[in-house]
Amino acid sequence: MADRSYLGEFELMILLAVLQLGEEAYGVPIARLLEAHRGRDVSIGSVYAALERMETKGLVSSSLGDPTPERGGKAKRYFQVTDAGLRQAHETRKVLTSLWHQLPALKRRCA
Amino acid sequence: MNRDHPPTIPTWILEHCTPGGSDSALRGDLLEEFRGGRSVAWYWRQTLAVLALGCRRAVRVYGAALLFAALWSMLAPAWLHLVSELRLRMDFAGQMRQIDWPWSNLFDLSLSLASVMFFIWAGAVLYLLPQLGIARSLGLGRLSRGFLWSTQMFISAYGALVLLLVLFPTHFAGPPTLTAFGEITDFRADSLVRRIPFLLTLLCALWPATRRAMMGCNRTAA
Repeated sequence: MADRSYLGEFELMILLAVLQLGEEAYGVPIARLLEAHRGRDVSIGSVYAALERMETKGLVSSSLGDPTPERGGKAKRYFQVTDAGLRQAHETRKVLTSLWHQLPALKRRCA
Repeated sequence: MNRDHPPTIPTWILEHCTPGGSDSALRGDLLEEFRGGRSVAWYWRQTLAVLALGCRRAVRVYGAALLFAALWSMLAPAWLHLVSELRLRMDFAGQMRQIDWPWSNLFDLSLSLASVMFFIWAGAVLYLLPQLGIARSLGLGRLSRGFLWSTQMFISAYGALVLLLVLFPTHFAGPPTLTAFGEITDFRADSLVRRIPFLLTLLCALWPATRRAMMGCNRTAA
């Protein structure tokens, strides 16, 4: 069951990455996508920690794939965004967008 | 060490030293990235980050359980005080005299143990209420087993305490406190020692849930 609290910055990024990757959303591509957008190293451990937190809140669900030899016989854990997660992402975006729109001066300075 | 085999020490740390165990899928991800061309330094950094996150989580999870158990066990003497007052009011001793020995003593002991375990399990349930997801993932069977083990823990810890009081009577013989509130605010050595069986028993009852919280609800640490 998801609570009413908003997503943190890192959690929102991960949620969007999982959405973007679709059926290929597991640790490595999620971390690579975040690295590409943030321009710096991302710890896979912190990606998993955030995903576990969100899984406990019911925002994402996970399932194990088949073990593969190139991963030392370890399975991939695939993540999917739940309906509650999608709602939370929209809600957070709405609040952030509305806050940004109220900062015209800052927007001009950044542009 | 070559591209197929990541550095031994960080791999060993990941497998054996991460509090709560590291996710096998996470270890597979690190291996996949390493074999895909990441450096040894990168592998070390990732391992240390996993270790640091595990330690932080351990402090949070075990610390919260320990703090709760310590606070709840501080209330234990007050609970015992209330129970003994209730027994006096109901003339429990008089009623026991009407039952033949040894049943009277057995009944008395069982009732005392039941009142103590009720207090401890009430604490465990209170602690687990905000963590229903973890409680559900454990299942009724494992939770019940944890509660049953805690009964055995209480009997053992209380037995050890009685032995301690018999062996060193002068160290633990303060004047009795007269009110339930007085019992809560009584921090003399003997009062603190009397709370230890409650603390250990509550920790024992919370152990399955605490361990599950450390492992993550659906994670495989194999």
